[in-house]
Amino acid sequence: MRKMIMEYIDLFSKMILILIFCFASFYIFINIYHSKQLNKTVNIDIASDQRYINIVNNLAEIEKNVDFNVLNYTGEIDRYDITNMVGRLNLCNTKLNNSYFKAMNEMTEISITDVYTFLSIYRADVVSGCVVGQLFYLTTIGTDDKDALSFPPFNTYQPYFKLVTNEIVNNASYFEAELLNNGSYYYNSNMADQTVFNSVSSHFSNILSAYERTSNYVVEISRLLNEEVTNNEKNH
Amino acid sequence: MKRIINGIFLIIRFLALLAAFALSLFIILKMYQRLNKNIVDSWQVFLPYFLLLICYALNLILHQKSVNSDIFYNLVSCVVMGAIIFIGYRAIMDKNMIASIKLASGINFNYYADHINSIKTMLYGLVASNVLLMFYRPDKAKKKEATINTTDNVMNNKDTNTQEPVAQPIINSIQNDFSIPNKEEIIPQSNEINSENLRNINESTQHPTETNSELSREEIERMINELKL
Repeated sequence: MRKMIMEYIDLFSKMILILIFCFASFYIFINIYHSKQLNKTVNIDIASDQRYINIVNNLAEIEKNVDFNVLNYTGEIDRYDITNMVGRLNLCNTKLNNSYFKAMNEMTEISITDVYTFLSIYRADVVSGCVVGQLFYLTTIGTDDKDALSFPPFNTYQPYFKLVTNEIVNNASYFEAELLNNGSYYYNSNMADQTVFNSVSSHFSNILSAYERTSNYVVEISRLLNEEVTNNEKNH
Repeated sequence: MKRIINGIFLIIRFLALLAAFALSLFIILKMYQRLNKNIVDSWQVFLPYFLLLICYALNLILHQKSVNSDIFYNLVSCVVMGAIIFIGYRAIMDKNMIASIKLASGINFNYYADHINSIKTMLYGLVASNVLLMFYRPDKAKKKEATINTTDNVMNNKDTNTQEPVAQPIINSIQNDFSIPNKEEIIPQSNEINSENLRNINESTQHPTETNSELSREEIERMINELKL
């Protein structure tokens, strides 16, 4: 009887030890694997990426669209408001063409931290500094809001401005939430079906697309302004 | 060699436990400081560490060979502590995790918090296993086992020894000079006559010498009958 109890004690203790050994080994290996994945870099060729080329072209077009003489304008909008808007668009152009974006041209490989830096700059400079800081007032023009500006030619576009602004802001928040997940490489995360390594290129691609979308939005506003001014010039 | 490796694991498991505890304490302290929580509330995180420390101390004080000389237990302890230290190290040093950059406090609390329950599970497992091994008496069990084995061996040897001499005098006598052995030599100590012996006898009698072949056969048949009786 005593021998049997001893054997069972030995059996149970060994069973627990084997389970813990497997568990601890799994933890060590999965962490080493995760660590290696996070350290990996993805090769990119940003200079030949069509989205990057589009953004560069958009920046040039914004600069060109706001290059007019306000004094020649004879339309409904106050010249002061036109000048104000030109200043805002110029500032947007500067924010979009930031130093990091310029340096990206020479990048050959990116890591997850580069993607996060890109996202941070996109959120801080482009989304907050340009879309929200400079162009958000366009979302309230022509509404019944007592603080809303009267900007007659643009009033019909107000729902569109609102929609795009919301989309840009929400996308940026979503990207950050997704990137923050990379520290939880655990089976309860929603990234169980894709590796962290693959998500580096996909996140970078998403952010670049969002960047392009934002630059398109700014270009559209600058085109509207340019058309308004060009159609109402003194010599027209 | 085994004793030396076991001794190394024994020392490492102690040092690794202290290192893992210090690392966990540092991270939890920072975490609770950040959350403005009372550190006393984190007692359940450190309870398995204390229990394991008490177990290790008891193992050493009471000279419990069942635990101290168990190389597998010491190895698993080292692996578990290694895993805990590695998790703590990554929480502090791995800056590729975005949460670490986002939190900007030098430690990735999100990552560490994900692993607290797993760490507790592993430590409680080690405690349970240690307690079970404390009650295990390998010496007595082994001694009993050894006694049983020895008895079995003796029995087996006796059987094998008794089988050989039964046939040997008969076979030798037939093969050599067909001289009839004494009755005392022929009759075995035990009555175990197997078919192999009989076959050997028959084979030897199939090629007798010309001089006394009839006699030999008769004698052999008589001997077999006697043995059968």
